[in-house]
Amino acid sequence: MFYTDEYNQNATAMLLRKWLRIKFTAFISGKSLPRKQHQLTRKNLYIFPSRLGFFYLFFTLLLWLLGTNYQNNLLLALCYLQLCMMLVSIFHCYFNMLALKVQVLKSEPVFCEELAMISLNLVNTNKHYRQGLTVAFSGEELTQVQWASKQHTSITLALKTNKRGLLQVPRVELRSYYPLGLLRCWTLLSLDEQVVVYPKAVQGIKHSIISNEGAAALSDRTHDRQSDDMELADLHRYVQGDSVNLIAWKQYARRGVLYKKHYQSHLQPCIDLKYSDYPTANNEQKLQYLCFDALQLEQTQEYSLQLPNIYLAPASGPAHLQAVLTALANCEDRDALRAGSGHG
Amino acid sequence: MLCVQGVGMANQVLESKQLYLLALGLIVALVPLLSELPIWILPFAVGIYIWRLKAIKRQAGPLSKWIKILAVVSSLLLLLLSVSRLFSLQGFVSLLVLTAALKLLELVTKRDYLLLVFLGCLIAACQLLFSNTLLSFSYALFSLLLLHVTLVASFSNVLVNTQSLSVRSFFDVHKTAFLKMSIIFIQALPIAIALFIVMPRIGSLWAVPVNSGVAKTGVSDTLRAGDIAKLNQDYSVAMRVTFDSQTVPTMSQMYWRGLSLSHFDGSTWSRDKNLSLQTPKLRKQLQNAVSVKSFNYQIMLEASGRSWLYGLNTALANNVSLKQWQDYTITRQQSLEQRFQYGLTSPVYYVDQSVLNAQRFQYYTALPSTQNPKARAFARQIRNQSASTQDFVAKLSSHFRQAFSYTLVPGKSATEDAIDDFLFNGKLGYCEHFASAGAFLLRAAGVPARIVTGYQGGKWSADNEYLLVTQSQAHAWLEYWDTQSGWIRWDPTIYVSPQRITQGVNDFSQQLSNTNLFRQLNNSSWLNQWRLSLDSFNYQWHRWVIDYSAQRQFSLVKALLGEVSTVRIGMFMLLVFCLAMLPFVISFYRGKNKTISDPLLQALQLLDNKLKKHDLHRAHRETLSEFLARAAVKHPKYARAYGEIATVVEAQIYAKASVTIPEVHQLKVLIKQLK
Repeated sequence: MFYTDEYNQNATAMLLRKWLRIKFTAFISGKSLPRKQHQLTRKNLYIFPSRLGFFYLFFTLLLWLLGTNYQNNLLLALCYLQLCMMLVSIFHCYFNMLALKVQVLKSEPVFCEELAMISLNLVNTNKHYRQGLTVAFSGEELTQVQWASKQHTSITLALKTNKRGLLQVPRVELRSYYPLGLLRCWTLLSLDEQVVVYPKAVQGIKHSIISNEGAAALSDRTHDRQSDDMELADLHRYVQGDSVNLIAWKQYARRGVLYKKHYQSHLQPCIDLKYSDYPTANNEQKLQYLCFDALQLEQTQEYSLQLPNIYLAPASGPAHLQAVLTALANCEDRDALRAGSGHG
Repeated sequence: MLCVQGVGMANQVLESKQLYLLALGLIVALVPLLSELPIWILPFAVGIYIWRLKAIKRQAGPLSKWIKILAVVSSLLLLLLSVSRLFSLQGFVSLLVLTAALKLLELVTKRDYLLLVFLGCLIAACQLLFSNTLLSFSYALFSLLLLHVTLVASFSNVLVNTQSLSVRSFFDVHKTAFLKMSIIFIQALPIAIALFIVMPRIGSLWAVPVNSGVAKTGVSDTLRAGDIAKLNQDYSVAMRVTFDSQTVPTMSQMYWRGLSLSHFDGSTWSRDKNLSLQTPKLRKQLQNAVSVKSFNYQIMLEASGRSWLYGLNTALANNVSLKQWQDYTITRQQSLEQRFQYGLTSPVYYVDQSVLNAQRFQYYTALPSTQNPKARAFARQIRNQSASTQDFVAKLSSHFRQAFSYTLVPGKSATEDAIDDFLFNGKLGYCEHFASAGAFLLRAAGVPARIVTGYQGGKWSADNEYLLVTQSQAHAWLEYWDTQSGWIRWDPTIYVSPQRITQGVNDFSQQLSNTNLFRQLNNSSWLNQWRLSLDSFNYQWHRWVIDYSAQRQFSLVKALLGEVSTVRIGMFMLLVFCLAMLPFVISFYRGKNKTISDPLLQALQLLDNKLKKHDLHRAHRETLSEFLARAAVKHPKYARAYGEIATVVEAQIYAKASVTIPEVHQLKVLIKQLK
């Protein structure tokens, strides 16, 4: 048949499609600035016959040939009607997307190699449903939009992460073939949204001496904590946001109030996570080890972070963890990294 | 999350519910073609469809490659056997339908589905190759619409939402798609009509197999006793005539001349094999007569399966592709497989001045040597008594008037000496008997004569727009040649039964026999009226749509736009397009403004509008209560109302629960009380 499958398409066609997409993206990038919210207007909406549309034209041409050769006016009338329906559907396809608002919501940070979830909010200011809308990051697989109500819906797209740091959300493509599938109306929007990608948490080994020290300290701490006559300097009221590991459960059982254990500093040495502590030449790996250790220590005690260009004072709790992880994610200063590694 | 993963466009796998609408569309498209197709195609297609449905529901396993190949090859062979000629219209359509049926075998992805929809559209269009009535066109439009609804349904997301499939939900699901498609259809219609009017027609690009099933009907090219009487009860339309000129012929002038039959073998009159085309001299003569006073008219001839055409008396064809012969016959290159419309001009007064040479004279007076001795003797006897040819014909006429009568059922005549039998024994006959006998008598007396066949009379349509000629009006008369005035028409029937000519055959035959129930029905006035108005409608349909030719197009576009130019046509198309699309665009922008659906926000909008009239505008970052307090200072008499509104609104906003309708209603009432 003259209908080829996408799988069977030869390499030239694939290359051509890729080349066209690149050219088109280059054409668009000069026109749209990244924004939190876009409204679809004639400036950012594009419309062109789909492949099905070209087939439709082909069948219409067949009908015209039939009508012309048989000198059959009724066949010609049908042929013109089909042509006009395609013409009219240009408007329907275009207006189906026009004036739609697309907002990007704040996205949660993720660890590297996890999927970042990007939430988009679509707002319809028209009295009609927007039909057959699909969304995707440009070049990815399409997701069909289901409207929660006539006015708005939200949709979440998964984004692969493969590098720590600030991930700029790629262009998002909204596309619709509604109503007849003969035309493709689409837009490529650049969104002003970055996802913080923490380094992947990987267990690593510190330098031998320091690691001994650390191990001793750790074992000390563990011993202390397990002993019953643990010396509590004083008890503070537990406030939401403090590490759960510091709750004095014994006191809670006795008095029914949540207290936070406040260890004496000599008994509870704060662990310093240092960039230079890890015996590897690969900077990214160091950050991954730091990430793992930070996550481990968050379970148990306070810790500080020493990076080539930043120092975070010892603390604990989700806010601190987030600050630490963000610092790890944003540790971008290559010169400093090189100097740090050289020093270590 | 409110999303469905993995909805690519083309490779999407089909669901069974999508197939029902497609099946409906395809069957609707197929039904009118059934009579043209081999009988096994429909069961074959339905069988494959049912299998496909089961396969999609996973109730049937996939077929192996070999079974599919076997199905394709065997069905193609079967088609070859059942269609007499593959390269014919029937063969082409059968192949198309078979392709669609076989495509069902491979119906897996959405892409296959869409291809089938397109094939369906083509099949729906093909019925118009066999029938071109308004009914079949409407039906084709309907099936096209239905197939396009399947397109809309598959590209909107209504299908994904539905879980169950009952007949009711099936219709609910497709209602939105149907409505959308109807809007597109209604918008496309005026543009398509405009396109139909202005798009130039070009002739056939290459020869195509035509529908060769048209039976030969009407008057034939031979005449023997009983031929025309057979047509007497055939009320089907032979042709329709529209007069362009103001003057129209009277009933007795309406001789629709078809062929002249000049060869007589004793029982059958047939055409002259050696007839030549009209000489320039004769044509000049005709043109001169036309320039004095003439009837201009268009004839739409029904498909007769014959190649000759009819014209009023001696006619001049406007169309150069038509052939005109020396005996005023007009013919066409091919036989008429479908209706054919052509324009003619006939002179009101015409005297033929042709001269017969000795050979032609002999040809036109030739008779088989031995038959009908009594008739020969009778002719010679009368001829001897008359002074001139005219006198001789007049004597024959009075003889017919005195002794003969007209009947629809003349009974069996003798095979030998049939004319003797008719002239001296039966004396009862139909037009062909009189014409045949008259021509025989003339020839026997040495006067050149020939039979002319065609139609006589007609019936005006309900609105007097056109003349309807039916097969029952088929007639035969004759022409004789006179040295002074050339060929002269002589209709012996008129002397036997003058009403036959002046009233028209239908009214007349009603008087002759009132026993036939069908004929009574045929002539009952309301039914007749209805039939005539239906025919009138049909005629206009054919005139303006089916036979809308380049010539007609030119005159219509000229009448419509003033002149035929690209600019005007472009402007016209643009205008029609804008008019068709304007309501849609306006409704889009109007719909955009009515965005507030929250009743509370609606109420607040109302409040803002009220206060705007008092020149009170809500400042940036001003809360509603502050604003209302400000308003209360300005309009102390509404202070209480403002206070109440503020209380209600705040209760609503800060209650955090969903807005309750009665309280919003109360709010609206409060706001409306403000002046």
